[in-house]
Amino acid sequence: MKEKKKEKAKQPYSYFSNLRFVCSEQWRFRKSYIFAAAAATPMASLSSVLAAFLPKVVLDCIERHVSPAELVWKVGALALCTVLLVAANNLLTAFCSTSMQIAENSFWRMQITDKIMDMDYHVFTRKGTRSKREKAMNSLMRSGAPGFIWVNIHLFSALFGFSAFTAIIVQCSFWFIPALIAGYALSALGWKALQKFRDKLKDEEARIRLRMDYVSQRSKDFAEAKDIRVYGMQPMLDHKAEAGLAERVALLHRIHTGHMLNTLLEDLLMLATTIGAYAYLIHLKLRTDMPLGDFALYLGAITGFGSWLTRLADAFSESLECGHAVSDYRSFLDIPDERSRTGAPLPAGDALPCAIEFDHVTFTYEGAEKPTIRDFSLTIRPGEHIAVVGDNGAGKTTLVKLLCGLLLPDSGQIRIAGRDVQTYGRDDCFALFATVLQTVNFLPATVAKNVALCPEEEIDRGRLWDCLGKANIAEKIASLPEKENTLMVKDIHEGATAFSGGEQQRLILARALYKDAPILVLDEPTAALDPIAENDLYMQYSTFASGKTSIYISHRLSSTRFCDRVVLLADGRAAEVGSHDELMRAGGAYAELFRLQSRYYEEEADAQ
Amino acid sequence: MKKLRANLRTQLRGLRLNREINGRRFIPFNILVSFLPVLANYITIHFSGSVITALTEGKRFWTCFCYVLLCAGLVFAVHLVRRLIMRATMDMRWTSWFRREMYMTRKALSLDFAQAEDPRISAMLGKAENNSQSYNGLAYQPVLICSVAANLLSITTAVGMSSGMLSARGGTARDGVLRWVNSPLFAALFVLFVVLLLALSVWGNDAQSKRLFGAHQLFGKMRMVRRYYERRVLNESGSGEDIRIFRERPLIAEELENGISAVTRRAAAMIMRTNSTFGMIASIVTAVIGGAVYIFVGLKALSGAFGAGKVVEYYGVMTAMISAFSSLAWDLGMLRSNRRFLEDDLAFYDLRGEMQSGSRTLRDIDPDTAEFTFHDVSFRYPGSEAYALRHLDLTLRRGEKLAVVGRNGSGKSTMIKLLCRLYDPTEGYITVNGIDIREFAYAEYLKLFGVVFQDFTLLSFTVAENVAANETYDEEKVMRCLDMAGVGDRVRRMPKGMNQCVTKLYEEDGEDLSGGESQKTAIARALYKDAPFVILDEPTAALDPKSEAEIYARFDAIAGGRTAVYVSHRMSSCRFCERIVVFADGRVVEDGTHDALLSQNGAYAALWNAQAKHYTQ
Repeated sequence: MKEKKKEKAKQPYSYFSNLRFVCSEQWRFRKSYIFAAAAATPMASLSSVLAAFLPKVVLDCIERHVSPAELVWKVGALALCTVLLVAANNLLTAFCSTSMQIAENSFWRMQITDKIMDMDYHVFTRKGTRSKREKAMNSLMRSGAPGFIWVNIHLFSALFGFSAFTAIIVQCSFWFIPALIAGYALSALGWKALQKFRDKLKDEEARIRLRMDYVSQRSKDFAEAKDIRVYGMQPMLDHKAEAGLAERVALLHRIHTGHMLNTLLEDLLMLATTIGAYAYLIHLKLRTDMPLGDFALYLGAITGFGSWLTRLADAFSESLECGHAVSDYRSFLDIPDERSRTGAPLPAGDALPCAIEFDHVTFTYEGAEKPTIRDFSLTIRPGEHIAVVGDNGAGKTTLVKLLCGLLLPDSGQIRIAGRDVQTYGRDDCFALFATVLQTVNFLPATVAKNVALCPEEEIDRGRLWDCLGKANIAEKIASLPEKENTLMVKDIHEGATAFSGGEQQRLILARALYKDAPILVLDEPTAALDPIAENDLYMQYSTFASGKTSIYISHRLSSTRFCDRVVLLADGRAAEVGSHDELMRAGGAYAELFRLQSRYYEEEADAQ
Repeated sequence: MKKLRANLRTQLRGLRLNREINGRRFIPFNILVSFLPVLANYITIHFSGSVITALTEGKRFWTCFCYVLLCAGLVFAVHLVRRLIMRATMDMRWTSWFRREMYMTRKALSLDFAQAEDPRISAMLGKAENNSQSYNGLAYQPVLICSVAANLLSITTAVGMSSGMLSARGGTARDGVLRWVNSPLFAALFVLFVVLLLALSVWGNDAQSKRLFGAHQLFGKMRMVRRYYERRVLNESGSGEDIRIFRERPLIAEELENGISAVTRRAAAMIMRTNSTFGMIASIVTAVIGGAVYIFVGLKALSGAFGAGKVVEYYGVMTAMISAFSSLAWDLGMLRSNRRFLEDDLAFYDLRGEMQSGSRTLRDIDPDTAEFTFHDVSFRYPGSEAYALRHLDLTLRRGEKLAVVGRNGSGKSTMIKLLCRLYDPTEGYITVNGIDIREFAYAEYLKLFGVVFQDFTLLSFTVAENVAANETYDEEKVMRCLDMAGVGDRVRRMPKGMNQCVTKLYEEDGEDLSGGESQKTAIARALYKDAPFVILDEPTAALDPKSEAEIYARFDAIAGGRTAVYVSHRMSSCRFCERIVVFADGRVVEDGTHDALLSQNGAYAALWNAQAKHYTQ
């Protein structure tokens, strides 16, 4: 609880700083919106104020028995004014709300997206960044950061209406104002209590929601469909959903009871206001010679005053909330870079292929108890092909991320071509690597774009087909009606082609080949391939990797045969390093593993 | 007319489905909740008129005040009822997403696997899901129907209350204009004017809702793209590494520009045009009618037809009526636009499982002697031209250990799917002990198999629930199976033992299992079933050599006396199977023991050597 308060206290950006920020950003994106918004400020309230006067004018005319012509022109003029105001307001609102929508999607969201893609990877994957990113994304939801200007306009417009109605009521009796405000404050207290109650239940609510989401997603997802059907798990899922629903109903019922009590309190207050206003006005009308029109005007103003109060308070809290959203948005964008974007020129010419040195590298994941990589040292000669083997979870993938400069070592140094990786410009450095990583999410775009990974006009078709060929997927792509322009990702494009696991692995390989970088890193590239396809890859490996320094990670120890040296990673250290033959002769852990896997094949050799 | 009837039928079916999902009270309660505040408003309008009339007639304070109290009492009573009903409707409304989701889930689970995997059906599910989330179709219909009903009630009330307005006449008017005001012609002209304007507003609202609908569809598509990028590409478990190493930033920026920004601009321009024109028409009409009503009743009052009190009352009633009309027009337009979504929803909910399921039980055969035969089986995946299996003849003999090998796409996994009747053959048939497998009740038939699929999944429930595939289970047996699969000790070490959830997705204190541990848990699940057939499809693809060796070593224990089918790309697995079948192009091309096939020097030898040579040189 205390922590929560602290968090509230250190709002990093003030209201005015936020207003300035949002206005200047909007100014940068599209200026017209700001003018339109400013113009819309008084419109909405003005027409309500005019509408309040309409009955007075009519009643006054009737009471004074004016001529029909006078009634027509007076009422007509007022109505015409209202019509014009309403029309203008409508136009401006339509313009502003669509502008806001455009700005949200083409500007605000793009800034976040760009930051996500551009910030340091090691910063991006930090736990703290994740919640900042989520908050920034949420800040774009309904009347979030992009709506800050609009919310403030609501506030000013409510303030305007509130003042106008106050001015009307004061004409009749000042005392209604404090009485009405007191009544309103009472109901606000009720809502506040309810909100507190809700906040208390929030975690519970979120938990139920997440569980329900989980159950329904699993039940509908056809990745699970086989297991669910073969094992008859439908009743279990159904029962879990039922239980979740029952929990949610029970929880909501408590909240809704609070809601009901509050609204009843409001109804009572409204009742008291109405009775009081009538009593006073009837009294006044009977005592003094107050015109009937004034009676109607005051009555309308007093009974309508509450709604202005509500609007004002809502607009105010909305503007506060929205201010938080702006702060969330800004805190994400303001996360500073930790690595320099510029640095030494990349190795070229004689320095290629590059040598790689790991010099006592230690790395611990945030929150982990022990380091994933500890005191790891290894020198890779220029153009050498290294195989990395080890158990699941031994740190192979972490090693790759460290090498590419995606993660930074806690201590020690990684040198490429004799220079610390961190002394190269951050983004320049990535040019050195082509990788095949285990998990890849294809973009909902064409095969060509997914392989070349650059905008349409920059794709080199010749090279594309060459690489597809090398990765043994050209035939399949050529057989598709749209060829390399076939769309991927079925969730998004109805006509997209779904590729099998093996085909996806080949596409990822083609992608790495297309990039043609001096250092090639392959992480389990054959898990989904059949023996012959796997063998083909092994056979072609020397062609892919010739003239490059390469690292090949695999559970299939056969792959070590075409690499110059093998590194056995255990407990974050290079437990054994050497050529396959050396390590086999040494008879250590690697030899053990190799025998474990080759046993079934070797018995065969013995048998022959 | 025909179209109208079809539309009406769709709406009725939607309503029926909604009643099934949300319960009987959902619609009537919602109608009341919308109408009761309107009713309270009419009461207030009526009595404020009465008070003013009393005042103009010079009544005393208490007479006037009695009206006030009466009004307040009635209004409060209405509100009291409304709030009570509202609590119930809120309970229903805020869970209706849940209920829809559950209904959809049930429907999805009731479909055959073939349907679940059919891209057309998953597109239908996708549409239904999208509708539910973006509040279209079935989800939106009750809101519209309730609003229509409430507005109709409101209009009826208003017509009743204002019936005196047109016919009222004052006898005292001498002036020419005022006399004309009292003539029926004036009333008729006024009605005509209002009706014309209302028609304009109805037309405008209808057109507006129709056009907005188009824009919303664009937005829906845009959101799908956005969701994909945000959930799959741009978050922490997405493609952060690839984006940087391959410098995908410009490409993704361009894709987002085309897929999101450009679409948004197009949709927003549509909305802008529509809202500014039609929205303006509607609001101008409202304001103009408001002025016209005042002029009409004002003139009538001047002519002495009625007093100031009635002026206030009629004006209030007319305003309420106009707003009910324009809201009604909007609803009707939306109902019509929403129909397309509703039809999509209905199409999904109308789906029924198609698999033919017989009535035979396992008692008709002795499960322990079950022997399967594929008779000239050919199979094409739904929507695909190419055959995945072609004239397959194959017998699975009881008690044997069978290895199935072949290249990617040669039909191995498809054969397994047909065996489990996840699909039925396109041509040919499969028998068990001579009986066509389609003659068995499906649930009964599935008891024959314990399967670990290549892409098996564990649910994030407890280990025990996963193993037993049920919420009630035999603890001892669960543990026995876990032990047999080689993951028992790991589970014992968990704080809650077998009651620990797998992963943190369902329960926060869940434990993540490694690939090997999950694999073994899935094997335990297959064992728990006590099925006479155990099928393992590529169980070691993602495992390190140690875990792989462990599974191989346990294979005999796992299989026990059962028939075991082992599908794998790792040829080493063939060594502990008595019989090997080699698939190529959807058929069995070789069948025999390891030694026999190797000496044939055919497809099997090619596969074997491709892998073995790296280990045996």
